[in-house]
Amino acid sequence: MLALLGTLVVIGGLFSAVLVDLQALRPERYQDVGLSQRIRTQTLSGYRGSILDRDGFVLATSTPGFEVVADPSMIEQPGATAAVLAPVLGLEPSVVETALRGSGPADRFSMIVPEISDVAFQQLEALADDEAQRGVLSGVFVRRFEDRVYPNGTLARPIIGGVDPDENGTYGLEWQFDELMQGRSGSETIERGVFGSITGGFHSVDPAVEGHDLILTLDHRIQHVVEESLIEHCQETRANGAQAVVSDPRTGEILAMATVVRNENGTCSVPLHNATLVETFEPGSVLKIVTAAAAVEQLGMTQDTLIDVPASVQVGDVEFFEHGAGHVAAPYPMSQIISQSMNVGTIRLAEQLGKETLHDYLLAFGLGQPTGLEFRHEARGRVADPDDWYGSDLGSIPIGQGVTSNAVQLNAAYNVIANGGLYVPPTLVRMTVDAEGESHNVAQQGSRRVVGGATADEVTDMLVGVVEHETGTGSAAAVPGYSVAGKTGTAWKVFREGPDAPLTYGYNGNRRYIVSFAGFLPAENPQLSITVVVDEPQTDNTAGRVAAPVFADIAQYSLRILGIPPGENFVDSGDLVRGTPAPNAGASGITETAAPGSEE
Amino acid sequence: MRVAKKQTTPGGRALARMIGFLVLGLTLFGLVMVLSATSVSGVYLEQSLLFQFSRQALWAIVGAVVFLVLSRIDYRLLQRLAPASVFISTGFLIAVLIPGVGSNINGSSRWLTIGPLTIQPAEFAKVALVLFTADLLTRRGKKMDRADLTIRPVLVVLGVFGLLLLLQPKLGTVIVLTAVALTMLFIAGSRLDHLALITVLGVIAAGVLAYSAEYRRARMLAFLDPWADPAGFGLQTIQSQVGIASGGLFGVGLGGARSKWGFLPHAHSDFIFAIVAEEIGLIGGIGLILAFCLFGYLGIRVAINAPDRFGMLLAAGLTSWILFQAFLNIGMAIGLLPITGEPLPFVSAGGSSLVSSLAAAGLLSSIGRKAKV
Repeated sequence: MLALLGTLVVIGGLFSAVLVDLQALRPERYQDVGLSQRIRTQTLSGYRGSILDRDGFVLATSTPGFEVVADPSMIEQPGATAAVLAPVLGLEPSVVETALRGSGPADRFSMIVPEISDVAFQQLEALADDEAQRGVLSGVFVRRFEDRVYPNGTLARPIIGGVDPDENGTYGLEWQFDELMQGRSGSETIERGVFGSITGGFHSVDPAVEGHDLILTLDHRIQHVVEESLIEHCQETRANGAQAVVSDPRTGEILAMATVVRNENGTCSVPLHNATLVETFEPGSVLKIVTAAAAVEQLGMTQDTLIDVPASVQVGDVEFFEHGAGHVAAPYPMSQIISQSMNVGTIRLAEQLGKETLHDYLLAFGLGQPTGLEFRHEARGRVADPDDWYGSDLGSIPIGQGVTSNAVQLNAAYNVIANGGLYVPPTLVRMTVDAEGESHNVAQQGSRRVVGGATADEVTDMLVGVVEHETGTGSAAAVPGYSVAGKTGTAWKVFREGPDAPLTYGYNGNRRYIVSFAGFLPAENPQLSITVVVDEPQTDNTAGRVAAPVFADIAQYSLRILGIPPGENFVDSGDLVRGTPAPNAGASGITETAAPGSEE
Repeated sequence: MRVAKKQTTPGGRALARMIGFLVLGLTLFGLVMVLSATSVSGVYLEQSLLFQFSRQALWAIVGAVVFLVLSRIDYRLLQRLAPASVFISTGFLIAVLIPGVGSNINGSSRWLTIGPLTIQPAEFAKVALVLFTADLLTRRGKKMDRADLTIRPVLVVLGVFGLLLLLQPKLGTVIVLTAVALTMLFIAGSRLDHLALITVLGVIAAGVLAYSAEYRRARMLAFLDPWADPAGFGLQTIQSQVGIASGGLFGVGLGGARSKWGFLPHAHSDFIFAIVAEEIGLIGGIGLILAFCLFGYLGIRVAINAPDRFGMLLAAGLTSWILFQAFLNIGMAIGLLPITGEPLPFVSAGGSSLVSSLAAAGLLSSIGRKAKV
């Protein structure tokens, strides 16, 4: 009997010792197992923000959806499960059963329906709550997903960009503002048992923060007509591509920014890349406004100042010729140098300015500088340091060769003149709006004075002459009822004749051109600034006949969309229906005096 | 033999009262723990919070009546029923194996359904074996060195019960019965060399049995290394230890056990100890072990002071039964013994176990009342 008592004590003591070890001395190893099987964390994803134009027109948005998937290895009776699921999903039971079987009993994933209706979703929820069906539906899952939708197809897509299937931005604004638009995903940590969330168990929520909406400066209507117009002209001129930037010079807000490229079949369409910011080119004569503005500001010149323009001028090792065989060496007023885009005349101005001053003005106008838009792969262009200029650069740079720029920079440079000498940095995103509806500004550069108001007025007058003077190169940019200030640019492109050939501008008869027209209107009170670039047009190669008509087209549409009234002296002649585009307006009978090659 | 009430002693009555309060406490504590352990699974699986609890409460009332009746009657009256109880138990153990009579649940035929009640004949075979052995070894008390007259008949009954129980299968009960029989033979004065031989043979037999059936072998291997199959045969051992460890010193609070949220199967029956240790902590776990030690101490006192040899052997048999079963259960819960599925007496959910445990306590109390303390 004592033996029994002894056994009792020994066993009781042993068990107590094991308990002390398990509960007091070393409980962690088992507690950790328990925690790891109970604590479940799930990600709460915040909705990705939308991208809207300036009026709230949706350019990109995310829509939630639900998909039904299955783990075939968990489904014991595909037939029975299919019989329950099929009516809810509106499918044939046999189809559902096949999907439930997947590739076999070892399969772990099979898509049943990629997207279901809200009604079907609610019915499935009810089924899942139904005790009797719980077993039948084990292995079937309803998963939430988000779809990125671009309701207007390719409209502004090079700007908006795109996302990957997980809604991570891959290019464009989707990439640039990815973090802000994604918001912050949160998480919910709960203590779960096999029978569900444990009452009184651990529960913590780190709520997801929904992404910001982007409100762009774009006007979808103008964006649309710009894209359409570029496509039309690109196809008409059989160009490699075309770009255009439309902005409000007073605010720097970009109203439209479009790129089109020619496809192999000869049609033109909107590509994925935003060439207006990521591609640069030598702008040519369109850049002469910088030289002209500097001459007015620094040298006190006016549009009437006479400049001796010889037939040619030697700068460094290059002899620059004034264009046209009929050029008469004589003094010309500065306004004519600009309106007829005289190269030698412009170079004469630059010689008086000196390369340092010209360089400083180029930078002040925003050339070779980041636009501040911080667009992905934005190219800032190249304005060489004066110490690095070649001997001939003081000849080529004033006339827009030997420097590169993108279309937005060119547009911003013209806005300096339109704004009375003030550089207003371009903007593309007006603001972002968070989940609470609070709006936030996007950091941007401040504006700065580049030239005085009088200088800007003087240059504006010269630019009006480009369009309105009978010998002006930009007559085709005229818009009835409005005074247009602008400038043509017919630039030579550097290219290679073969894969291994050196870069060259070619020779007369073998040139490649990139033509442009930049300007603003109404000249007396600029509200609209338009820059058009056409790359390698085949039907013609002068900016006046290729780019200026596109400018006029876009201007007429935009004026009507924005409701900008015509000037006081406008008389409706009746031969133009207002608001109706005049295709190739001015293209007939108007010739640009600048001959190819003469605009170097 | 006629026994008058006045043969009880004041010390004995005090002893009986202590046994009564102890098992009352254990039973009420068991009810609380069963309610706690089934509160989640009940709602989830049975759509009723009180499904298990109300049945357990009914069985507790039945058990209390059985306890009171048995503690009041003269235990010596039962000596005459000993042979009959063996035959009746054998009959039940056979009946339970007959398809249509016994209920086969999860591949085991352990239950007899009588009207609304399901009972486990194995529980009552424990009572029968103790009664039979006590009676036999009382009547042949002077021939304890004759193995053929003492050890052999006990082993025959044990063998018949054991065989029928293994067919259910229910190895845990066989282990309890064997241990109880050996303890009684030892206390009754059997030759130690005989008992040693039987013990060795028994251990070998247990080893063979453990490896003879696929599931028993797997359980044995899982006991040795539960982490080899943490989601299968090792599951219960691991989850029970996880629950106990999570309890720490003072427990997560009554009702707060995480194990019962579907991690630990049979939390309310076989693994109620783990729930106690998780909810009330080390305090509760050791407290429960001490409660059974106290039961053992009281039982041994009853046996030592029993008025006659039958009472002594009966008390020793009943006490060792409750203790062996309790230790088999707790040892399993703390990972020290393999999983056998024997319930914790008085505490685990299960009507037959509760009633038979209370019957044993009632008999013990009856003997105690007459103890010469």
